[in-house]
Amino acid sequence: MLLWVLLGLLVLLTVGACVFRDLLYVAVSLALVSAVLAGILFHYGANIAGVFELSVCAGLITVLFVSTVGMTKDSDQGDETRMGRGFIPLVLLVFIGLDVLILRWLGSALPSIVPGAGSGSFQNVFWNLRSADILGQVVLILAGVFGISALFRLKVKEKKHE
Amino acid sequence: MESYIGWILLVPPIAVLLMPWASRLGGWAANTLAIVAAGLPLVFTLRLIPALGGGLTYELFGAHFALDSVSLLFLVVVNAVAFACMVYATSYVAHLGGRGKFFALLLIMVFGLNAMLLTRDLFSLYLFLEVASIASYVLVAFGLEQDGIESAVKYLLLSAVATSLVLVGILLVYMTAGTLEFAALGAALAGTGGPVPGLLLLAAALFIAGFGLKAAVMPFHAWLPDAHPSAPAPISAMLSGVVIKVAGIYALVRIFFGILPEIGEVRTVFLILGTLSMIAGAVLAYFQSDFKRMLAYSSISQIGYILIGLGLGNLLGLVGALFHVFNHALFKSLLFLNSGAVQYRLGTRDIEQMGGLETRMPVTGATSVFGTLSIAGVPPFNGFWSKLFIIMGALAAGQTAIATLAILVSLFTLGYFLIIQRKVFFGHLNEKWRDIREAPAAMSLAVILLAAACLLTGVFFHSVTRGIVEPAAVILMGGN
Amino acid sequence: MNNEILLLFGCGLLLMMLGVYLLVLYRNLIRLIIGVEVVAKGVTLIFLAAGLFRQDIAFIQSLIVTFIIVETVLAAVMLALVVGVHRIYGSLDIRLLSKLKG
Repeated sequence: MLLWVLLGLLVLLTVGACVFRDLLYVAVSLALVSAVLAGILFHYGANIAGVFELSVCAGLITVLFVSTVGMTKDSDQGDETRMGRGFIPLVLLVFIGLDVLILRWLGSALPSIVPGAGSGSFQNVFWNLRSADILGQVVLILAGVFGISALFRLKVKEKKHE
Repeated sequence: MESYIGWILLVPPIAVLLMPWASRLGGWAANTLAIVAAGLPLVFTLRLIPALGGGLTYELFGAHFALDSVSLLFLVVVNAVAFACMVYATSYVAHLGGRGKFFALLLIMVFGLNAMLLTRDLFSLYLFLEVASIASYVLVAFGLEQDGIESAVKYLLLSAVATSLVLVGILLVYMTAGTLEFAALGAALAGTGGPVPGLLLLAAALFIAGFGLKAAVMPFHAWLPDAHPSAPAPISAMLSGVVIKVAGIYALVRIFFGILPEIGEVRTVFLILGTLSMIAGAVLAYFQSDFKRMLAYSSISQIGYILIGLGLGNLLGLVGALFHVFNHALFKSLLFLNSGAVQYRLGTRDIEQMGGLETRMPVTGATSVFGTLSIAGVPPFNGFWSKLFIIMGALAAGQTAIATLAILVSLFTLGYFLIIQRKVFFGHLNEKWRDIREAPAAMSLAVILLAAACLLTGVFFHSVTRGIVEPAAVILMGGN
Repeated sequence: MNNEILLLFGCGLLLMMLGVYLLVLYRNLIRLIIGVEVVAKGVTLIFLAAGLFRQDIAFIQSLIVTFIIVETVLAAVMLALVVGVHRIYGSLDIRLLSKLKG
């Protein structure tokens, strides 16, 4: 029951992120989507993933969104759409229908499995089994740092031209 | 010897960490660090060729990496082209600014590609793909000019969707097999003789769409003709020469020739998409008046050849495809670097305004001829042999129509490249360009290295195919 | 249990479809990035469904944490590019970006 409520909320908030006109509302509903998702993760005992989802996605990314909206505020926020918002409920219905069809097929296609012994604790998996991913994450963050500093050197470049 | 694998992985990130400090010391320090950091992996890779044997494994901080002939072939390609691009970039980057950041991002991209080739885990493959991609989005926009930023946004949005599809595919595989390691997956999914489970068919479709977009195969190619030309020249060379091969072709090869059980339809899909890309890429390239855009469309066409070779299902086709990966990386990066040298001096990419540059830029002109003859498949240049193998493979597989089309497209390629060559380098020198000088020494050195590599792999094609291409193709046949 | 997994999977797919729809629907760059983020939320749900199906939450958690980091770096780089577009055009309407038109 709790799951239905959470998933319903999730879809509702996502639709909200699709339709709100004010970009700040959109950013906030995306943050709430992340928060509900974190709740679902907690519900299934994926606590650490939940904490990450809550702090990084609902927190950090939202801050980034809001500051970008602020930095570009003077521009036309361009909430114009290609086909009008009136179609959104219709599109949602089509998507749900499609989804149900896929799920009915998936339900019959799921293999029956004998679950393995599992991989033990999260710490064991994260630090021992998947240590290649840690190397990847470190370099990924480096890429982000150098990438953003490279993109923001525009100011320096403009000054040089003057 | 195994420890070389670790150094190949670690040298670029270590250099990235040192880069801010080096660039504070001055441009020369950043240049030296960048060239050493791009050169060392190449040296290690070449040293690994004789030591490979049946394959090597290496543990780095508890993470497992492994090397086999397929990875080795791609490693040689990545590091050779990256080294040439880095040498070229040391003087090209001067007019962009942000030298240290440029080198750092290029090294991160090289790390991501090398790690993709060495990892033996499906999710890590995705992660390293993402590392290389994020570096490449920024590098495409590095000039901070409008078409670079625009193309980077387009590239990024399409790629983000593509990698999401790939992730869903990976999760479907995980649901079926309960593991993500290549060896365990191969064992768990090994065909029981019965029909392939529906989940895996869906995963296969998602992989073809996702990695097909990364490889810019025809219906998924929309981003490439924008992203590759707008990037700074060394990045165009890396993207067209290496990234589409590793992020697209290598991933497809790994997954469909070793992990997933054999799905007969996949080969047909490869043949259809390959033929479509080969023809449409060449036709669209013909209509371009922008030098780099023309080269970008021709990359789509050449990726088509590679896919055809993969789809044929015989050893000859696979050897041709893998050899073409190797050759295309060399000559396409050569041509992109040359177009960059022309743009660097002239400030335009419009072919119609050029002409007679050969007298002003002899090195660029002469190496372009090498590149043109290679891409068009003129003997004894390297492109001839790989195309020949693919065409012979097609004939052996009974695909006469595809073989005929491949020959025709090859002639057509020769035609439009000769037209370009004539418009840019021969003919009457436009008065505007009377005072143009040859590109700086580092840029000339890089293109000379690549042009020499094109000629030498063509002349000694037998040793190259015997040494590194055939063992890789044999592995793919065995895993199939 | 299987029904819950299907439900999570389906919800993830629905979010992915909505995200792609956002990419098609809007012309504002920030909204396109929201679309990419919504797709990523959907993928996270599918991660969870896959982990529940294999009954290995510890393993899937590790993947989700890595995925969240990827998502964050990607979002940061995208937003930096958006700020770059804004500095050049003073607008975020992609109709000005000739290459994204259509």
